[in-house]
Amino acid sequence: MSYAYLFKYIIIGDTGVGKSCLLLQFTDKRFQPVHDLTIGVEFGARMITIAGKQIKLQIWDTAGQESFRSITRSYYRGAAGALLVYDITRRDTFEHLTNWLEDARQHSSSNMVIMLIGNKCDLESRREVKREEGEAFAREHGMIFMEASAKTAQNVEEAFINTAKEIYDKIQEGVFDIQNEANGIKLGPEHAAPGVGGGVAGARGPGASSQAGGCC
Amino acid sequence: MTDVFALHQMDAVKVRVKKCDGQNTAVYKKFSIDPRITSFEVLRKLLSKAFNIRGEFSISYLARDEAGKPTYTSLLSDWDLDAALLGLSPDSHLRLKVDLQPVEEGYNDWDIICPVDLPDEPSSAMRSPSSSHPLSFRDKFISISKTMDMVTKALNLSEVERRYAKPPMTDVEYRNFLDSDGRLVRPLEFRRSVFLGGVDHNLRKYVWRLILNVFPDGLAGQERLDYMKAKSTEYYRIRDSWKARFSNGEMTHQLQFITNLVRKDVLRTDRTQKFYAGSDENKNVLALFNVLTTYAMTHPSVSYCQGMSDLASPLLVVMKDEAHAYICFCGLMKRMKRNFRSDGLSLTLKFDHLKKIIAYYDPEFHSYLVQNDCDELLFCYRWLLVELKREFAFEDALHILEVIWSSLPPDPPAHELELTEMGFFDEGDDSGLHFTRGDPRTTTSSKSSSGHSSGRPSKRGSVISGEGDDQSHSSSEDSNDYVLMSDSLTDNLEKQLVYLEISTADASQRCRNASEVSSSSADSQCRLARPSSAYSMDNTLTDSKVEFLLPPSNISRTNSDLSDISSLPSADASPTAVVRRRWPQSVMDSGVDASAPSPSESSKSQLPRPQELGDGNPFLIFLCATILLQQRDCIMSNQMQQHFELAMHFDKLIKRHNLHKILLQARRLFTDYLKTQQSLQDEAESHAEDGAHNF
Repeated sequence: MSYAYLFKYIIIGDTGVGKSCLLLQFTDKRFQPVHDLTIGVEFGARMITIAGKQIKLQIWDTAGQESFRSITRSYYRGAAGALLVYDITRRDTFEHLTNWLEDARQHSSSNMVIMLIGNKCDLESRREVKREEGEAFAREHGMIFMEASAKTAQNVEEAFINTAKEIYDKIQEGVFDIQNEANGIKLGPEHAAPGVGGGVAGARGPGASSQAGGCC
Repeated sequence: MTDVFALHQMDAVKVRVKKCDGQNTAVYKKFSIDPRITSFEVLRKLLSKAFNIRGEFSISYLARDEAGKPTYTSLLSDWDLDAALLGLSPDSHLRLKVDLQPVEEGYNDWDIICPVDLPDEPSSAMRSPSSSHPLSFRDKFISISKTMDMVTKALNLSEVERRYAKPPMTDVEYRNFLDSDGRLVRPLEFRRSVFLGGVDHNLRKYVWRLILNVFPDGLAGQERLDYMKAKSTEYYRIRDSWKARFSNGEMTHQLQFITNLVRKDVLRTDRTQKFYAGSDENKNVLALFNVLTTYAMTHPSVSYCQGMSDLASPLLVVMKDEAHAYICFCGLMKRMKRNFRSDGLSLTLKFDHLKKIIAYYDPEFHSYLVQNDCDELLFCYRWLLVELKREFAFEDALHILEVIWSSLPPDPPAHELELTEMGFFDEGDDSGLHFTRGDPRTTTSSKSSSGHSSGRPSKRGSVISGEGDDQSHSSSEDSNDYVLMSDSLTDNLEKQLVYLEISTADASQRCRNASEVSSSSADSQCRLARPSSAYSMDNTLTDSKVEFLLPPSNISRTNSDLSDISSLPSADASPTAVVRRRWPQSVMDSGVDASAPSPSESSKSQLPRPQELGDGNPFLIFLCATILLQQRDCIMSNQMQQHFELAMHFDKLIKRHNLHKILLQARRLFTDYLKTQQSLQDEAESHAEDGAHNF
């Protein structure tokens, strides 16, 4: 299927906060209470539409307990967006956010858009982290914030799509150099002009050049 | 949730299937299924029966796309099947399409890409087209396919089957390996049999203990029973000591950290298996928790890492006994703990070897991967970490695990299997090595798994390198001690150094523990040597030990020892020449057209020796390579150009791999590889002799 852009996402956060469930809810629109823990990295993809443009999301769902540092760096490489997830019913997962953020900033492109997600917001009675705390943390570190529930699907769609919107805006403003695939953005066949890097064979039309914008 | 109920309310669903094989006209069939009992696997079986399909095929179902147009969508899993069923309007047919995959029908395509029949029986029909016709690789492949098709069908496959597969070991066969006292005789042949065919499920319990190196050599049947009883008692003693602390509320940081992690993971390990299904209070889930927590508490240098629950789970399913599962887990982890070390070196090496194997056997595919920047193969991480346990349906995973374990040479404990790493109980019978070293300060920082309460040992490894000066200083100071214990230090200095750093950290860990567990220092000194000796075990693993996997005619050479040639420069031209001569694959390599990069380079680069390949598990690398190579046509013809596309492709194949086909080819390649290694060694020996004459 043709697309205008391809964005690479990475989902990170402590073990058991619901990263895989968020992904499954987003790609398959279902919640699977019983599933195997993630080892290494798993993958998901979905097409979305932003401003009338087809955008393909390639999502890397990583393991929360990471014991193989050299490979983590590879996951981050070329990610345009990151979903940093904690569990609102487990305070420790919120407290580890700083570590994750450090990791993310260290290994990724500086333009990577990070969305902070407080997952499991359906479990209001077991809440340990106030929504305001999440908001404050996100504001302080320049992230977008949402509380979501992979179980009820609340805000799941929005989390992925709002991240894409932010990336798309950055492209429009020329913040992202879309010719550089290290930014996690690839031009689709609709966009790529012949001979332009990152394009896909069989490109039709030079539409991309106008948007290829300034380099940072 | 409502969806699931909707499925349960459905009765029979009428199915209309269209079969296409790309050439003949489509064939249609109709039948009904009960959606409540029809899984994806059942559906596949129904379809292959209905159309009498023997090879691979794919299923798709007719659904409406976003624009409302009817299109065929791939049906690859139970989830897809649910989606297909839920999308039906009442009384409508489920419309399926079956596409045969012509290349794979009836014969194994990869046998032909690698028409390397065994070196001792050269097949001229396969060699001549590739060496004499100036055709492209693809053309060659097709022409070989055509000429070889019938031959392959008639001879090759059955020959390959005969040589590289056998039915699972039965009770009768098992008993033939035991003498009148129940002692295991011919242990190498025993392993070879498991390697070729696996084991009947009912026998697994007994056979797994033997191939997991639980017993010291030479125990009679009754002695094995007594041994298991004694070890079980020991296990419960160890387990109850942390359990007591647990229930008394004496939670150390370490215990809290471990139990939190383990609890989370056992609730997400094989829960779709009946054995672990149902409520979280399932006693088997609790047993798995106990096994993993006990191991982590008594092995502070390893602790708990994700992936271990996948290794322990099948052991518990097969043993159906917590203590026995723990004992087997210790046997398994003796070899596999390397995978979970924070330096990641073992996995890095495995990745590296996997790429080497691919480059060696299929330079065209390898350069395709390199050109498209997908040669990182990150999706293979899980394959390598838990030795393919996750990639196959559970029953198949049990089979592939036992085949992998039996591919390794026996490594029985000298006296008895250690159930703890340090002197958890003061047994006082160890002696010898001197407890030196240790800046206790390094302990807490370098092993966050035991010290930090972090939900994620995020600083593992990085802290070790961060404290570089300090660490390397103590390492070099200590290294002499280790040289005495391991004779393999010349092999790979860098790896050793990092290894020593870890060991040093372990030592300091013990230093700290020594204050908790009094009078255990002698004990811990001795055990301190163990990781090191385990390491050197890999390096002294000799060719004669792996030879047992070769067909019987080759077993006669048993006095060889590959460590003899370890002193030879690996870039020596002559072994390469041997590879080219004895490995018919190289004939094909030379025929690849000049634009394909570096076939010569890859054929020149020699494969790692069996004792190095896969960092202690060479056959695993062959299995992973086989899985990749069997998909190479699919990958290349669909022009999957990104690592992500490959990863998605292999994610879709999870639990759907064809076990038999993979094992057959992997065994065959591995056997060829071992033979070649043997001939290399012969060559090296005769060179050494020549050299001696020259002097």
